[in-house]
Amino acid sequence: MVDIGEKVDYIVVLNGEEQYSILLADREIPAGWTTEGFRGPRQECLDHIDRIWTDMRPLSVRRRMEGN
Amino acid sequence: MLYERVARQALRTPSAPAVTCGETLTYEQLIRRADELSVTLTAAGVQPGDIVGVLMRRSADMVITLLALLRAGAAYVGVDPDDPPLRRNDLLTDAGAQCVVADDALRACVPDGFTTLSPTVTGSAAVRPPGTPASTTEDDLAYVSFTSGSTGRPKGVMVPHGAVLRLVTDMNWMSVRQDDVFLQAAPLAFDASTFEIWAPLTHGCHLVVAPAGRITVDGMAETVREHGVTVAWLTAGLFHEMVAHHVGAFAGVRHLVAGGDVIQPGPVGRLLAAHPGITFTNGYGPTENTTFTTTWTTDSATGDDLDSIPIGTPVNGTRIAVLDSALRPVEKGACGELYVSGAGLAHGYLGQPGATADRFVPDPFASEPGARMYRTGDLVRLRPDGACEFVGRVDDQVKILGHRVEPVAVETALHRLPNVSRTAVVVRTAADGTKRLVAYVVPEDVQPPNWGERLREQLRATLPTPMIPWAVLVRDTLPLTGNGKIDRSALPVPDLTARNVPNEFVSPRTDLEHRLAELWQGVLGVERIGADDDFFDLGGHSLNATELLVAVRTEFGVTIPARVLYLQPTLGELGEQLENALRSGAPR
Repeated sequence: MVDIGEKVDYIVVLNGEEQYSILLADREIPAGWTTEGFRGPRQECLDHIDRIWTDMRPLSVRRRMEGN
Repeated sequence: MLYERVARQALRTPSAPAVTCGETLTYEQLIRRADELSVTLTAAGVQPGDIVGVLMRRSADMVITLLALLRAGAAYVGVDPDDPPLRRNDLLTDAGAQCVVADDALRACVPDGFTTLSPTVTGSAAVRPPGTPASTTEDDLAYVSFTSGSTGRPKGVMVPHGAVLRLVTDMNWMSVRQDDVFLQAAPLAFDASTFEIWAPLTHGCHLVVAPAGRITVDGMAETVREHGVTVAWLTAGLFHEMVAHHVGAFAGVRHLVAGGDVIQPGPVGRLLAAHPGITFTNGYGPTENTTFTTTWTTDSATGDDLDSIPIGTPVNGTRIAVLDSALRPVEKGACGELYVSGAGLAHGYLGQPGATADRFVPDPFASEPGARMYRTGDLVRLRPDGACEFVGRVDDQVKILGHRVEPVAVETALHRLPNVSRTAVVVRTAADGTKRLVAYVVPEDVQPPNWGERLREQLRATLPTPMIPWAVLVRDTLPLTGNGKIDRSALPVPDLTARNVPNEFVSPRTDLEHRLAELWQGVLGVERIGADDDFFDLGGHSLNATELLVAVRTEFGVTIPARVLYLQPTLGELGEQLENALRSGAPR
């Protein structure tokens, strides 16, 4: 049995705190989210996020920590 | 943030009792000791933003340590001293911890490569002025709590201060009174401890820490009575056992909260009937949304007309949505997956961005832009009165002894062992509702003698107790479905038998041992019991231990303290104790 999730495309999105997630490609993007550019099957999107989301602290926390 | 809340209480009511575990500390003493320890920890290298392991038994020192770490701007990660060494090492490595605060007695349990810190204050800190606490915001991490992961790799849930504050302030389901006495009994690694510790300390209440060691129903009843506990949280299993054996112990309890698994309506009815003034809450929630997501509270004798206990409505600062697989709200009353959002959300899984992105998804229903919602994997239904009812899991994750266990994670661990070709791990429910993991294993090569038992022992090196299969059954082949997947529904159901222990079978010798073996069978559901078999090796735990001791009392008229069973856990040893007690005509 093939997981239907592997047949449809997802896109990689991120919010203002630079937290990444995935969204079905045909969906309207909710307010406050932007596309990262990567598009593909679910697992490929998640693997992509594993590579690019290297600091998981919210952006505001990162900025404050680095400011100190 | 959390530290400041407690410090503020200490200014307000400095001489009020704060923590009792043997001795009692006032709020002033608690904060002073936390401040001193914080200075020591900072001097030892703990910095804001660090994640620090806490390897401690339940104690006042443990509470002081948490406050000290938060004051230093660090987050804590509770490590269970009873976990296998390899798992302790993995969790601390995954957490990125460099330091571990450990009880002196547990120093040897700190894996190599981590700096061990003592929870006691060194001389100079006591005289040094404590300095100012690190400034923390609601987005800074307060703790990391590990849950089961489907790949076999546990996931460290990163919980910020704001999420804990949303749990313990402006609670819409409990009115905390300053004279309340809360109980702390959950392991720190389990996020029920978040509620147990921070609800009382941010409200100026008295926190009673249950003595270190295994929780038994007798011990729990004694602690609740002795200290006049008024608010307590219990896992579902413990709640059911307590109502069955010690409902009288709750006479002084004002508000009892239970959860972690499905709550049976019968015990709730019996509790309310026994104590008409008591309030009962079923608290539901994944660790990813900080302890409680929804609650259902009752304080009237609703009794037998309840055929199930709902999980209720969202707690303050939390929104829920019941959605179909395309993320559309289901029709009223239909079953769907529960998604949760709001201030209780964790930041995600430490070091696992992909897994985080998979479970924390854009929230299309939120008013604030960029909000996320967490996919719980729980199927629920909204009742006409607006309360949620738990229906089941989307995947096959189950609760064993109150812990989340994914059978596939146990399969992964089995696959790593030599000579394992195929495995299937399934959940079997015994007649009394107890869930047990049963593993089926096909060897690659010839199966060595007692292989199932040996595999089970080998798993103990990497997995915590709730993940150890109750039985490992060796098979030549596993049944398959048409498309080549293991057909779980066609796996043979063990007759709740399989004596699966490493020691040789020695037949019970005396009439008394035979009678005792029958009681063990009833409680454990194991086919045959040997004289040298260990109750806990056969699947015994604190709850069915109580059940056994009650059965012994009924059958022989002798009260055996739980401690005796823990110290003399084999059938032969317990038989000897029983025989001595009978001979001396001891307590009935």
